[in-house]
Amino acid sequence: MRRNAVVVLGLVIGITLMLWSGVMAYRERRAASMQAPQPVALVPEGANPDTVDAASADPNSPQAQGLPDMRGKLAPGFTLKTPEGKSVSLADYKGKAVLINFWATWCAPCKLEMPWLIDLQKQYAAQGFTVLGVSEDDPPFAQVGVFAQKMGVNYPVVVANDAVNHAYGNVDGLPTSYYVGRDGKIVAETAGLISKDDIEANIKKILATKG
Amino acid sequence: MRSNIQRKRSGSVGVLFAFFCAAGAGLLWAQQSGWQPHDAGLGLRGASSAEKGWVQLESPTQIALQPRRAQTVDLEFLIQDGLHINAHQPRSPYLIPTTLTLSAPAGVRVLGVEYPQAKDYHFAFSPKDALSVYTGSLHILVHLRAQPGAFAMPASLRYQACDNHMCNPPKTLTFTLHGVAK
Repeated sequence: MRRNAVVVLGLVIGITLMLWSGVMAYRERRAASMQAPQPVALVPEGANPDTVDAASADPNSPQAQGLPDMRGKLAPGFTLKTPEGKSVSLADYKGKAVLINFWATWCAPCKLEMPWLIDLQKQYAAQGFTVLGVSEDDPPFAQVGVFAQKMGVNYPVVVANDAVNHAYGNVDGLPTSYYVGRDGKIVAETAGLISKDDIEANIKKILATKG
Repeated sequence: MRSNIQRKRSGSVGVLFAFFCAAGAGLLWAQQSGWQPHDAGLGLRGASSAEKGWVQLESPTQIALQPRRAQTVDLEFLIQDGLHINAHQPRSPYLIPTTLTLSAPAGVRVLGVEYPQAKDYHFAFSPKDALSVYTGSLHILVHLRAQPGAFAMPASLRYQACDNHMCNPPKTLTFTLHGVAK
């Protein structure tokens, strides 16, 4: 009789733990999906954008794209060359809020977000913010400079190398952005095109950090 | 005898109890630690996906031709669901065009490569910036003429794939067409 009571108690504890764990996991997933930046939909010509489900795109979280979660970690330092051959280091921006934006001239979503980055650079530069564009183009790099100039880019652009790609989680899909606070720590990371509002919200977060 | 059965039963019950407790504790630990049943460091960028590429050749690589006659070979490629690749003539010179390259061996002459009509897409917030792309099944027609005999023709398809919000680096799919003209 006593043994039966122990068994029943054990079963109840086990099942309760499993149910509680499931509920917590569901809540966490739900909260994460509500906080995740929404991907921007691509619409066939002639179709109504409102009927295209942006959420049907691949999950936009950096982790879903294979990036490691680097939030809270110090942004890996690097020194890279501009297309013109000038060296630029992340350390040059010590104490500033930096948006490291990996992009390429052949990346259409990157081209679409560029005017937003230009606007945001204008808007927040005086508060100690800069975008740092890191191009993933292959040589010749002169085309990167020409492209950036043509787009009216008003922030520094450098050319990536294998070491920086590796340090930032083997950057592959573009655009990929890391938002670095004034203390040098990564506050947010995004993979893929997100809205200007989402980019701005992340910029506000890094501007709020203390050096 | 009876006490043996009871002992076995109580042993089984104990094992069952231990199993449920362990399962519950394990799930609790998984929840708390954020563990997930896959390697978060791989995913879409994982080696298998990246090495495999996003476009596959669907057509057989063995082709039979009639000698000394202009003929058409239909090469079918399958673009991974949810992705698009640029048209052969994209709308911007910076975009990487889809290009089939054939290295014709002696006795084979490539008369032309015909790409299909691309589809136009645009981003929801930017209707002016249309993209000319291929999705799904892609048929590229190769017009060629071959002298009698067998041949092997190396070929490659260079492309650059994107989904709705992200672009993958350019890739080259290489294959060899083995033909017999008789």
